[in-house]
Amino acid sequence: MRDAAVLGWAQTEHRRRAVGETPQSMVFEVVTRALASCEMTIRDIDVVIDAGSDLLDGRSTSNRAVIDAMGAHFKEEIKVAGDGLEAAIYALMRVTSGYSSTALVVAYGKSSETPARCQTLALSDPFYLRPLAVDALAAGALQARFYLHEYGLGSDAPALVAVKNREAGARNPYAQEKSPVTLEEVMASPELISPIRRLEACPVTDGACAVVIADRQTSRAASVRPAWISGTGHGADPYSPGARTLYRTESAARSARKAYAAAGISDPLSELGVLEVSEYYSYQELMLYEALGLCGEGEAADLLASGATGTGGGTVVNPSGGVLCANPLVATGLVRLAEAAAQVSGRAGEVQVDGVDRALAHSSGGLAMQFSSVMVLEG
Amino acid sequence: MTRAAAVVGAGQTVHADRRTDVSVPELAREAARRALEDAGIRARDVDAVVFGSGPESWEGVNRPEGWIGPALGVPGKPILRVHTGGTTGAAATIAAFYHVTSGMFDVVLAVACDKPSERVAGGLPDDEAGAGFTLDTRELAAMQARQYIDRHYPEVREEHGAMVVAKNRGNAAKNPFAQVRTPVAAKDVMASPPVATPLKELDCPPLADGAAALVIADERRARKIASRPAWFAGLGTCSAGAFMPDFDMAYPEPCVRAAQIAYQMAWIYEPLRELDLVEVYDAFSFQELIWTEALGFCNPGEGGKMVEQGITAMDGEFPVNPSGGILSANPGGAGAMLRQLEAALQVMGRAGEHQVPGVKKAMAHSWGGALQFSTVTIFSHRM
Repeated sequence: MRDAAVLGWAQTEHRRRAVGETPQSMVFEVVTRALASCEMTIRDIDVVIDAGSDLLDGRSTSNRAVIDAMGAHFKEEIKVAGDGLEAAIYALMRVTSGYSSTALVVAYGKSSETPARCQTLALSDPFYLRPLAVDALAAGALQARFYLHEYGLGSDAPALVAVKNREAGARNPYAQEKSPVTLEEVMASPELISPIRRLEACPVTDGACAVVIADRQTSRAASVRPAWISGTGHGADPYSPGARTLYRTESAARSARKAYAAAGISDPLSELGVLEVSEYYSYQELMLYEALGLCGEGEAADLLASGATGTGGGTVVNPSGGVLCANPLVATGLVRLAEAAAQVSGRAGEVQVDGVDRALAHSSGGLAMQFSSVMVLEG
Repeated sequence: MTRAAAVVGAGQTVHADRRTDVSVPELAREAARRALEDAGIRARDVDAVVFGSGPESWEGVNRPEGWIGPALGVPGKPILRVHTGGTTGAAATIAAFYHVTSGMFDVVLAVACDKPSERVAGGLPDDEAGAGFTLDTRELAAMQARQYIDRHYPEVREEHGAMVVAKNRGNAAKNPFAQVRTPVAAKDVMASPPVATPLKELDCPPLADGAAALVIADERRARKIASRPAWFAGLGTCSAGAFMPDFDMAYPEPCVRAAQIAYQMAWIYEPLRELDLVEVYDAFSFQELIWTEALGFCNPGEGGKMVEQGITAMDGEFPVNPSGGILSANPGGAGAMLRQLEAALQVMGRAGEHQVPGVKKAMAHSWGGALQFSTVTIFSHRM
């Protein structure tokens, strides 16, 4: 399937608090740079698909406020109320349906202006989970506990994910966390909710990302090297954590199987050069190795320890440093897509991995990774 | 060659001021179940779901599709949520259309739901545009109505808004799902208390708890599922920026442009002759006249004449809102999908008591945001 490709992208330099920036200014910056990166102008864009969050913006129907900044004035424009990678999947539908040639995908989040807990506690329903104060961190800790228990792992296993990703993030000019950490430092950092420690949790980030997706004809004629989209999948698990086998993320596994089938991938570990995954907490990266088929169930800690997914490994996971190094909520998954596209087209700069033919971008959302999306790219 | 798609099943809830008998997921489930039953398909026949609901501050839940999705009766399916203000329900249907025409999915369930009776009044107002001087939808619609009447007076007068209300409430009496089914006379509307001049109480819509759902399928499945599918013939959306000091509210350009896109796709040159009826998003009485003009069914300023001469009546030459429109049932984001549902049912010949005879092509329209968003969907009895 070479029906569409990612042609251009841009992300902000992610920061804890982007003082002096507004959602509009961040969006304008990434849209301008993303268009320039593939030598397009806003006139070349047929449809704009954006991702945003009312709660994060503190504003009803949040896209109303950024239409000008996105260059979407008098264009077809739709807001996907989820992660930016989900918006990218909708954009892919728009260009492969044959009605549009190009789509601009925009996502932004300015978490510094919203108490994080407001955001993530609101993920739980008002009747059953919210009275128990189940927010993203609590649900994540519960899931981490299930996972470690199921496979008899110590809490140092996920801590190594933080060490690996912070080492990678130090090379990424857009990352927010640019200092490496040692295993001792991770283990000594305070527990937020056991077993998740401070250095194993995503930071609070202000940032934005924009991506240009185009149909085959436009991509073939482009002046830049396209990152072809060869497979995609999205899915959801049951809402209630109690209704799931919590140490597995079925929706990610299903989404990946669908994407791999389309992309003709049978052995992801040998066929993917890079994976950019959304690990909001360190343990999630281990679970995702298994769900995305890099190893069997319970084997992720060994795979990580073998160095296969780290710098110089054969299948590098999160060479950008991942979500542990920058978490521009809502844009987080779209940043994964931008990084994966950069890797397969040889434009990843300081974080480039040599000889990447295929890469995968993953996003998750909801409590304990209820939602999953993946996209497979090739050069 | 592009893939065709059609509506093959439809379901809606009864729309009521306050549905205390159901939670938000149960409300959505009610519509989804009816749509699947209407199409005569099972949960496993559905490949993906598109969900639409209004501002998160209405449900008070972040990513409400996570909570509501599993209640829809099609567990484990890919789900995507869209949210574009008043046009949300229509945007969900349009997204379902692209799910199918992209070739990625064959049968898609689109659901839109809102339960404003549980919302925090006012929601989350915009800091930059509105919160400072409490500009809400009614005040905005009043400014729009004032601009419209001033431009076209005396061809358009306050009485024309009242005539729209009388017409739509009369139509709603034949719609068993409508929220307000008691007819009113134009003089009752004129005599109702002012809300924000020139809008009076009866020029404004009720607010309902309600949901709608549509089953959308590709050509092969559509022919199997439905004997007379409502084929998508044209779709258009258009958004306008937030900063628009020169925005013409009496002839809103996003609406004009969305219609142009849809007409071009559907090969429609003379909308009034080639289409049989339209369901417009008449959130306020005067808006029906404004949309009738902006969609090209008459010239600017002739909207009043259209209703006064009975052209837009249910038995008129070009019926507008035979279902009773938003003025008779206003379930937030689901209202835009209801317009599509009604237009599709008319094309399928299954609109019940308010069926207009011999409908071959029908249009649905919606608007949202601060008049910023517009959607247009055209259905045809032929592919």
